[in-house]
Amino acid sequence: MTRTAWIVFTLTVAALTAGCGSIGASPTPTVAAPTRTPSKATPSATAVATPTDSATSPSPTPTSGSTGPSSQPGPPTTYLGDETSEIAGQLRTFCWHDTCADAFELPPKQDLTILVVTDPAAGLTFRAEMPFNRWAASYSSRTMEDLEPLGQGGAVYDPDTSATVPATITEANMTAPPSGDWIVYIVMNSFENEAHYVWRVQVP
Amino acid sequence: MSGANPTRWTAAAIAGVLLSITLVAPAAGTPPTPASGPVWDTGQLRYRWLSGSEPPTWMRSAIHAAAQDATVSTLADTPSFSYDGGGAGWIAYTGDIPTDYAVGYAVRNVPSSFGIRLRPQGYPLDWGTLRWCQFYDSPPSGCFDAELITLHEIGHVLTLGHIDESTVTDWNDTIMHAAPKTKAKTGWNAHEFGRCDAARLQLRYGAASPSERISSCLDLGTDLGLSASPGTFIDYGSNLTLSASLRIDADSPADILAGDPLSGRSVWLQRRPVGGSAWTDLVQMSSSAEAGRYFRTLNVTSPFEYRARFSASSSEGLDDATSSVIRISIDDPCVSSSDGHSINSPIC
Repeated sequence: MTRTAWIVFTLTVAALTAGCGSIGASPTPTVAAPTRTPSKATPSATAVATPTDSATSPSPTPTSGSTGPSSQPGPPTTYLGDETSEIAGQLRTFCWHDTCADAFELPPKQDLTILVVTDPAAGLTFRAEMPFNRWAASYSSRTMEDLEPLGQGGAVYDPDTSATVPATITEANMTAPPSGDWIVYIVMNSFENEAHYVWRVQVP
Repeated sequence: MSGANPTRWTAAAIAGVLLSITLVAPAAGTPPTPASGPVWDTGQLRYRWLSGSEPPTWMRSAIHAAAQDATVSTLADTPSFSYDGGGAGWIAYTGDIPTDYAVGYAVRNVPSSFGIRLRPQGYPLDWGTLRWCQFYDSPPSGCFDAELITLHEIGHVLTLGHIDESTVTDWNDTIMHAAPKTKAKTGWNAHEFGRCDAARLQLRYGAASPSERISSCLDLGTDLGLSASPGTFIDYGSNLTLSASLRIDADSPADILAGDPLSGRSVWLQRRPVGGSAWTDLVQMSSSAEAGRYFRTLNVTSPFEYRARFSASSSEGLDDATSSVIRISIDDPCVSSSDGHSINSPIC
């Protein structure tokens, strides 16, 4: 695909994503001031030149519920389900257009809506509100470090080579985790963009 | 996802690599780190502290160190990072990040500015309390290295995304993991981009210079040409200069690197008797001032066939190359120019 064709394609995908929500949709919690404990100097009050903030500046006050500094559309809503129900995933780490957020860890299970799998043999289905070209699923009892692979599919797009543009996917099927109470973690790539989602899944 | 347990991912990685293979990445290794969006077309990016969100001294030191790490470890023609109170980019030490889970948050507005936000020490995230190692005189296990995390955020500013963990064969190939290690797990305090981060940056920005090492996360073909001056038919005992030209293959799918000259490599001149089969290394060719050019001058008294040979270093992502063969004939009335044998003649 030529670069020109790629640009046209990117614009098309961007247009498709419009209205799919904004980056950082999770509300910012009420937060206590961090408490400093041991050693080292207290935060410096050294004055530095502070030119007028650029377009990337956050609002001067905490932005609870803010869409963040980017005007670009954010990652889409995604769903994981079985034959009887599906629930929306919780967005975590992402790099979407010009913005990246780094979660580094899984949320506590109690923060997540539970998907109770009725028929594990039928597996799980992942879908997103926009086309994607690559997905990789894993599961963990608690932490990122404990993640075990569950399935993957599609192909990664490489914007810097003459590689073929991979086909898009609208839905992905995977095996269910073994019996237990898990966090399912799915990374979805929509060409140059990536987003990571989690679900709590209970398997009988 | 965890790279701490790479064996778990082996089967998945094989499938993933097969699916995502490109012509520029070694077939069995971690691919270049994903990236997106337009690149910076500037030699330097300057950052300041965001007013009202200035980092404490211990964090500033880590940020400056990360800026230096980024400047020296990309292997690519990326902009350098430096502090400037009037810089267009900014870095903030703030809880004002539009998620309740993110440790870091980077926004780039190419070509004008960028912003990096780092959560403060002790911030209660949904998964736990954030601890920066640099905050402590004796950092506890489980803290995040602020220099590494800042370098990770700078990676995002340079357009890097996160690695697909199912394709990772060595944790240290990249610092762009979705879940960086905490102290004191392997890679928790990496202070340079991994080879596959550098690979992607080279694919996007080009190599830092013709003599810069090409990341071993790539697998690029090379082209080696050879020419003779003043020609291929020269007088007995005169000087012959053989010049080699080493480049990345012009047909490489790595668009921005294709055809780029490669300097400072080891290029050998080989020869064999005319019509012979075995090549022997004659001499290592000298680097020319011209990028990607190598040369050697010989005093020639016998006809030989010559070629140049490039053997790529194992630390680079380049393939070996051999030039085409040049046959040098001697204008000697006593030597056959066709087969190099002495001529039985009254004048010889």
